[in-house]
Amino acid sequence: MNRSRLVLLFWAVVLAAPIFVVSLSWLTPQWSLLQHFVDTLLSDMLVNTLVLLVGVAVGAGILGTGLAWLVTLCDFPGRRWFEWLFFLPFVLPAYVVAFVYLGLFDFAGPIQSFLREMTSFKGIDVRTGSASVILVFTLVFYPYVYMLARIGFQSQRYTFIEAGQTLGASSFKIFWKVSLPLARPSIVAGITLALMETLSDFGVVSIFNYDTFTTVIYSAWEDYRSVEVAAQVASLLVLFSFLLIFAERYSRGRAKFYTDQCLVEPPYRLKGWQALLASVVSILVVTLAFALPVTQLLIWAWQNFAVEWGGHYWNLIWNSLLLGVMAAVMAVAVALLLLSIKYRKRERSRTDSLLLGVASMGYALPGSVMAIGLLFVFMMIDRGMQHWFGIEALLLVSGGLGVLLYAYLSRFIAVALGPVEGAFESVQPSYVEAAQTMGAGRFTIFRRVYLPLVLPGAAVAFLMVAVDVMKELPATYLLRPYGWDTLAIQVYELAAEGLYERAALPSLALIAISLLILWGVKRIEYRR
Amino acid sequence: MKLKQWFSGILSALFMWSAASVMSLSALAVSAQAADEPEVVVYSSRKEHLIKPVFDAFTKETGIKVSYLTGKDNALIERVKAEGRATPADVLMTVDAGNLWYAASQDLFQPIQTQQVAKAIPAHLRDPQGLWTGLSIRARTIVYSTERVKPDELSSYEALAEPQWKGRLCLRTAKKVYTKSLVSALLAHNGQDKTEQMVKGWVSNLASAPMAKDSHIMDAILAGQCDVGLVNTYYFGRLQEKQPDVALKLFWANQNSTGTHVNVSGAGVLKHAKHPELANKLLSWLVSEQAQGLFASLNKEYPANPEVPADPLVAKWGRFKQDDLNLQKVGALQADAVRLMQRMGYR
Repeated sequence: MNRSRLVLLFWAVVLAAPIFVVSLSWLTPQWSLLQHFVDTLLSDMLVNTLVLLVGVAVGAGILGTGLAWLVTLCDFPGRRWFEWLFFLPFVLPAYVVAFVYLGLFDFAGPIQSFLREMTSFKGIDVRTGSASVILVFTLVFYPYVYMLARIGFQSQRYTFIEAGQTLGASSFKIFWKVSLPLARPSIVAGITLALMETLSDFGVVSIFNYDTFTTVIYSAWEDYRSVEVAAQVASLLVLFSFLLIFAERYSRGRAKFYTDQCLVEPPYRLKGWQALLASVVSILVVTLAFALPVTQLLIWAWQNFAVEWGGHYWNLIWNSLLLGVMAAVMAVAVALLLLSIKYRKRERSRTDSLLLGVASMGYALPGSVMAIGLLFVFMMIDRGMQHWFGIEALLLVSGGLGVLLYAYLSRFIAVALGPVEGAFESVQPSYVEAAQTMGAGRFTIFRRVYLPLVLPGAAVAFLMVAVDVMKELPATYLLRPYGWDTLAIQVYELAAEGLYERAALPSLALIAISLLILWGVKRIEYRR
Repeated sequence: MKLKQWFSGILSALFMWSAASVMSLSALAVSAQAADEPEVVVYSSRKEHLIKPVFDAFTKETGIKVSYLTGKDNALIERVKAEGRATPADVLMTVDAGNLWYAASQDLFQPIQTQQVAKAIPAHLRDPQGLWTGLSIRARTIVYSTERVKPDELSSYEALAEPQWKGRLCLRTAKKVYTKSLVSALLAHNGQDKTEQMVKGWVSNLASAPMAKDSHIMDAILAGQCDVGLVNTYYFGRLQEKQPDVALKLFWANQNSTGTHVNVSGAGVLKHAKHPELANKLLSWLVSEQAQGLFASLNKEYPANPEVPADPLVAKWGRFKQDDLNLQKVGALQADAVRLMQRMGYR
């Protein structure tokens, strides 16, 4: 084993450490409680989880792919705007969208009340069945698919489509036979991210009281106070998503499509009713997924501004921003390091891919389980330190932010790896070879070839991690040191009491900061 | 490969450096705090907006600073456990007797030293060993639509399982600790079989799948989705504060039998507290008349100290017989109550 791989191994172990600790819980299984779950919750939970995953995969997959295809391959009024607007729901925390949507569409909400008043509509129970939950997840998580699918479509050669057109294929057939297969790896990667988010979510499913895998984890922990059983069920969840990750990596296969050219101009110009339809659908999506929830939040925040706003908000904003940026810088740095090892040679090794997969697993672990796992890791180290060196509780109590940042890194490294890896893929061996023939040294190659090409991917990774960290609740709530309250915590504390109207203000602040970062990243992308 | 290793070396070093600097910075902050004025450290699952005004009043009165860290009950308890002897926390403040009981059972508390607590707080709201005390009371009782329900149709929690309420009942999810405590109190009074029958009846009477919040239950009753529900009194208080003539009323359940189920928010002094005297001082102040009024009325709860009058809005709901089952029992039976509900399909 050479030294580069040792570095990779080291990081894979460090990043997956909480998962190993969580899996260790199987050393002391509590069969009676597990049996109780098998007797009561298990069948519902499995069915619910599967239905949810299929629903979100189909919903977010179709919506994300369709929109990406529309904005990259078709020209229609407002296209340039929609290209960015479609991405915006990414900055909305899922649990915030869930409570806004429940407020609007519940039996007692304004929309059903209006319909009952005006028509013979009897009203429906949005908490029954899985449609509401699937809808919310689809609206919140489709941007993952959209973003990656867009890159997938953009990097296709115009000539492929032209060839299809010359051969007389309909545009649908070209989409089905040319564009879609070429973009498939990106689409699958996007769906995988969306599904991992769905699997580890607890906020949305608890607002709708929809029982999934995480419900059992929480029941073990909250109802039976058994951290062990919670960890055991959580490690099953990780196993499940491990399969998901490898299915995704496998589906990519060994196929590689190098492109030296990307779509600059969309090949189809929509006219007449087609153009109108495209614009209307786009407006509808942006309204439902972004404008509607944000408008509701704005109204609530406006009504409750006097009660809720205070000087401490500056502190919350600063903490959220600082945590997001610090975690994002670390995650991008580590992702660059790990991937520069993987792409150090022309041929890729399976071992490297496996180690990267192991490093990414933390994404599937619900934040609270991750936090508890870390708590145990640090507790063990602390006990050891105390035993051998007489130093007391160095990490847990004085470790402060380090512990929390480690949790973020372990949980969100997968988010950073995705875009950065995409960027590395776009560096063609011929560039490197050309530079070598011109006598460029390794450092020059890195600085002049890799860095400029990888920078946009790194910027996207930075954005995604920073936004995800600012939205993150359970790990922050459990592991933060004194005085590190964040906006997400404020949202939770108010929402937990049912004070959704007051929770609108911190939610909006969170969304505003995320938009600010998004704007910054967009500038980096455009400067290119 | 030299360059890559160089590169990775730099990155690792950068990472380590940033981690180390962050750690030393926060360690510095902690030690700076320690050298400061007298200070008591509270871990609280009672939310910030409900405790900050009370702590501010305490600091103003005594000059003792209170720093606090909020969190979820279970997570805070795990944190205290993990921090062990090195914990900076002096007081653990949580809601629901189940959580207080659990913290006590994990040997996290030391007995409260101050006499004031036993004098001010009734025995059924305290731990028999003096490990924790209730600070405010909330009742969980029946709320009904004044338009569609007459109060003489109502009597007890158990009666809500009867067929006349089919399709008219709204309940909160069984995952919420308030539901768990209520069912565990009923389990203590009525035994396994009767409680199973009752929960089964509740579930078959539901007008909607169980809801995540008490406020949803009241909204649903107002909108006509259901006619009766069970809520904590302060949620009704908050609603009434905003809409004084809301078409809902509280009904005191089980007045002819066990009394209405009450629960507490409460606190105890941690075993490894660094400032136990200050912690006891804080608790004895919290049960005093001036603090009790503020503490309870901030959240439209009842003061745990019976000498202290409730908030005027709360007082208007009238007096009622409390279930005086010791809350320590309620906590101890909670896991059994959850098993029962999960078996009966109450989600």
